[in-house]
Amino acid sequence: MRAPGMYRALLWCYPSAFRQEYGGEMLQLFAEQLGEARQRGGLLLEARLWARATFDAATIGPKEHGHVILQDLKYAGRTMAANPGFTAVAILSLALGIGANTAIFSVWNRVLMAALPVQAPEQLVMLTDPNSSGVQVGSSDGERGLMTYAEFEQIHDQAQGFASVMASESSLGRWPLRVGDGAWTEVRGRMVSGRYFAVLGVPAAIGRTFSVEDDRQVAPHAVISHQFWQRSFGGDPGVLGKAITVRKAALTIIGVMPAGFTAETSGDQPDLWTPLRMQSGLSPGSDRLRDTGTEKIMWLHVFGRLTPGVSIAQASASANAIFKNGLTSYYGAALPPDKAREFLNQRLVVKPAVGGASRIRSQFADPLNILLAAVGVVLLIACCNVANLLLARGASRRHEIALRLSLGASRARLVRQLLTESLSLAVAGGMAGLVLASGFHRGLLWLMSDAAPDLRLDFGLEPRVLAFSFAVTLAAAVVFGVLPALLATKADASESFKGQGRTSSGSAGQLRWAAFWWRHNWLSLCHSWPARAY
Amino acid sequence: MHPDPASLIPLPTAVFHILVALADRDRHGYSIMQDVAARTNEKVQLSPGTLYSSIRRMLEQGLIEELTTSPEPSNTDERRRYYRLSRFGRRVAAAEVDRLDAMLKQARATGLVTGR
Repeated sequence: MRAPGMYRALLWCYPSAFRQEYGGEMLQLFAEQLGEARQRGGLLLEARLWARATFDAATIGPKEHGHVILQDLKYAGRTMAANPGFTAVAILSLALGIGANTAIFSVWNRVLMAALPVQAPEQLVMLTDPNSSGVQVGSSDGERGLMTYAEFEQIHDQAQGFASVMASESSLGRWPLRVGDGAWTEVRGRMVSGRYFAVLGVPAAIGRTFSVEDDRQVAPHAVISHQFWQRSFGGDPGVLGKAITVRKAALTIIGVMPAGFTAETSGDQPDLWTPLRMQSGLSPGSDRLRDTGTEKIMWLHVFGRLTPGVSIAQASASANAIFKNGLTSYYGAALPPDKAREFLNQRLVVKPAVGGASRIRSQFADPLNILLAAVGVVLLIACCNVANLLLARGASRRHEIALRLSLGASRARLVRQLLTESLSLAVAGGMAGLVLASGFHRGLLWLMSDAAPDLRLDFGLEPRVLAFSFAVTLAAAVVFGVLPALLATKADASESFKGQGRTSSGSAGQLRWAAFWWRHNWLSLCHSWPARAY
Repeated sequence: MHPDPASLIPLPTAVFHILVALADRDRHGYSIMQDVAARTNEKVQLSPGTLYSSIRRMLEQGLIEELTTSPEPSNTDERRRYYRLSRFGRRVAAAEVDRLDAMLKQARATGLVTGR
């Protein structure tokens, strides 16, 4: 490539308007500088000129782009301020669409997709069915949903291939609690094994968590959540050692978990945890720690972390061998051989547990997927409305656009300007949408509360939710901005001047036709699609 | 309506050199570049990128004006565009000179540098 070609290539780092205005002179000036350098016979001089030109392209080019963007934003701001009615309607439409999408995506993400907020959740495995919960009494066959305490102990003590194993109550208890001699309140609690917090890899923010000692003897300890600590103790750092009564069991608080710790079950936010050994104290009259007769009491989820280098298949084989031995020795003595074979037809399925257990995941998967698609259509309708408004405004601005075209502005420059206006509207709508999303989120949880009364999901602007909102905002700007911008700048300058003040034809007519088509066809399609879908 | 010259002070070095180059006569880009290089013993050499980025900004700020016709009848190159220092540009340049002068006086008063 010769010198002019190479310099022209560098000029592409500058905005097109700057290039059109000054590119020719810059090229001429650079050629003259290069000629002088060659006359003086200095290769070093020539190299310095190229280095400087490259440096300019890399530093001044982006600055010039920034200048153009700033100009476009200022112009967009003035245009939006000059049309407050249009701006308010457009931003409100987009805010409703983006807000609804953000709220439902937040719930969808937390219920169906999010990883547990624990250390290295991708390394966690489950030996029970994540969707099972509650207490199952009797016998089972096929894949085992939950485990008994005795089965968990066997796996915990004997299984090879697991670095550590823990168990947790599969359902969330609602327990009466009082602090000291205070009033009774209802709290949500869960019984867990000694290694529960160690397997999750989350230490206490204050104090300590349980240890294997809590599995060996009845230890009246409790670890409380950050929220419960704030709510019931006002964040008092002297909470450790305080006495609480849960039902008839007197417990001592030994630790406070950090904020944001939501445990191993998606959507559950327990107020406190107690050791599994406290079961009979917390549920007087029942003993879930021992299997008797043929009526096994299956109530625990079992999680583990694999030993490095051990595959899920190897760990599963080891766990199943122990599980089958346990079943054989348990049922073998109490049942006739044919019944025993029937009861022995059980197995553990070891599976990745990145998202943890969830009582609501299978229940709400379909409704949430449908709802997410539906609010996508709502956003599309909002975009159609804004596009329609922009098309109508494009028709009224055609004289301004024609004037700028006739003064030498390129179509690309005007499209960029109009897209900046669309993007500004979308960003304003997106920011308002984030505010509305919190309200929509509360409304959605209220709707879900009948089917899942224990569901607790905080609305938070997590990175994935923010990225989604940002992507939705950008997509909205493209959807409602591109076509009106292309059509509005298609107007021929001379034709628009000639047609000013009387019925116009050509591109202006196309604008009106597009607005009409958009309104009567596309919108009706958007409105009718959800009805057809259901 | 121009802003207060003080609001543009201090001027970027390239902008001040361009104002000085245009003080005595109207010039095109290449001439500005040569004048700056000659006055500074080639210590300041404006690149095309710096020159035209500064010119774009100075036109917007009203410091200079672009001429519609060439002031040099002998010039036959229609691609050359000529620039003239505006009245506002002259006021801004004067304000910048005052600022630099005051700074120099302070430096001399403290004995940091010597000279008149």
